[in-house]
Amino acid sequence: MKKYFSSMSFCVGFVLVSFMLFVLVVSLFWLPYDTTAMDMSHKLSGPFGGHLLGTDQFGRDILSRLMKGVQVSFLIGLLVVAFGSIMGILIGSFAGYFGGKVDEVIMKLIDTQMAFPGVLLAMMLIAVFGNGLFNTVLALAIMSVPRFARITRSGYMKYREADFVKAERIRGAGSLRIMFVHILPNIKSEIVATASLAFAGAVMSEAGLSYLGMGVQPPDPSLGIMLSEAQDYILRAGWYVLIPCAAITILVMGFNLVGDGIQEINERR
Amino acid sequence: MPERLITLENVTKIYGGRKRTVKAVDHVTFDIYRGETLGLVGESGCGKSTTGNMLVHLLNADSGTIRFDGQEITAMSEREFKKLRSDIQMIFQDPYASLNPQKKIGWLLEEPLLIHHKEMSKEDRSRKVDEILRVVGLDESYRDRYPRQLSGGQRQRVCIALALIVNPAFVVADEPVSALDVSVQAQILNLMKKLQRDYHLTYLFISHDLGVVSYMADRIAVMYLGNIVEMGTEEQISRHARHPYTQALFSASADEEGRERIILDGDVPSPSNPPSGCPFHTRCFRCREKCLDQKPELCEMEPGWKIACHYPHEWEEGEDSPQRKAVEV
Repeated sequence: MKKYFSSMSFCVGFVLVSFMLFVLVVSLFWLPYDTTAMDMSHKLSGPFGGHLLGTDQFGRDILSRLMKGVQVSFLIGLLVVAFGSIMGILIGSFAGYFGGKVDEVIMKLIDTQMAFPGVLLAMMLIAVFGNGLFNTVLALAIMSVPRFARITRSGYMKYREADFVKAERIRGAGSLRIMFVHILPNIKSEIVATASLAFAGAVMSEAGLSYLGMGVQPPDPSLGIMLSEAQDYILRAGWYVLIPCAAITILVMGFNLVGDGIQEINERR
Repeated sequence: MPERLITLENVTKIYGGRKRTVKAVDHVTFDIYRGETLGLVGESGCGKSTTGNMLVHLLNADSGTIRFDGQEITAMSEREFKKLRSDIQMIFQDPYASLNPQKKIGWLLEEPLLIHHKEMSKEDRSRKVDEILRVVGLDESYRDRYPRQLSGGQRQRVCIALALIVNPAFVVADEPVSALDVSVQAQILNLMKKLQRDYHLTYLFISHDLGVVSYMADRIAVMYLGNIVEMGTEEQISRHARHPYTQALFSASADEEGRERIILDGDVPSPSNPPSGCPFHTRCFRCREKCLDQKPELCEMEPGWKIACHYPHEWEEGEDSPQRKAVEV
């Protein structure tokens, strides 16, 4: 962990992610206002009044909605990374370790999926399965499988002919033991870097889907919904647009920088 | 006659696909007797490691038979071979690459016991690990260390411990000391010799270092381009070699007075396009017409001394060969 702080991008990313994590933790215990409580007498009031970040077109507190939106983003990011990484690691492990026909078939399928525009795929899945948090997570998780599968596969290809793997075979270790007990721990830092990038991607895609009205449904807040609602008032209340934008930027950039930093250090080794 | 532990008969291994094939091991036949050390020498790429890998079932032979203790292992599936896994172990060349960097030494040593002796209790395993660490000259404090915290010699000791913890009968040592400092080499070799006596081990000792092989081996087999060209006791091979390749090889390590150094012309031919006739004829200083198109068989010249050459008796004291280049050392 310590060695990663020698990378500038990791440090910056770490600060940004820590800030958002702080917001998340606070939001779990305390929100300034109810996120759906409307106050029609204070519509679109500016920041630093009674409401720290102002209110939206229904007089709802933007800070509270933002904090709730960050919660949603983290929840979706975590679930997407969890599902996507488990599926991707399993697929990539078998493809990379066994190679040959297994690898060819699996990777052709993965390539086919990668050729699909991600958001389009997610929209298709949502069109089939319907709206909602779970379906959004499912769609985004399926989208993130290829990147996990690829990085895992390349790690396995690097290690499957390593001397210590041969030595394990001679000691009688079975394929599953070699794959998951011996090789997988050796590529964990690559997987963590990918997970960080995938997290950023998931946050971004969720915001995109919610913006298009296909992710989280109103009146529940989400960064994407706030953005789409705010755009109508861009001339009258510019700060309203900027606030969800800034949150998305900090979150996505933070995780991207962390991922890049880890990759950078991994390559330096 | 000592008991045969390993028998190879006409073992061939071909690498590559349809277009370009490489005969890494070409109809190799030899025996390894119980309790001995057979040294396998040759230049890099001559097929000695491939032979070792076939013996531990990492590679399957394309033809021929390999028998271990009377059982044919060539055609065994991994599942069938599993019960023999603990009998045949291997020590690798590079002690830096052959230990999983993510695992502690104690964990690594316990794993083979978990695999092969499921009935063992945790305490028994732990005791056995401590015991084997002491056997290879380390102590219990190494259990909690990672491989990166150990020196090359210590790592190789751990590798030896890993091979021995399952009580094998036969150990393939694939250049076990060539990655180590000279000062450490001797310690490891002496440890291997001591363990051989204590545990009645049989070794196949693969190396390109003739000094090391002469020190370790009871018998030596010399490989060239996938073929065994000469095989005999250590004394016969290192002092009275008859095959021109063996002579050249051992003259290159000439540390004694009075032995002329034979310099071979050219490089080893590509194994994907081996020469016709005798594989060595392109570089042989005794090459004649017959060598160009007839491949010599490995024939027993004296009991236990085999040689694959058409003219094994040519070389006598004082014989003058025109193509032979002698250099004073």
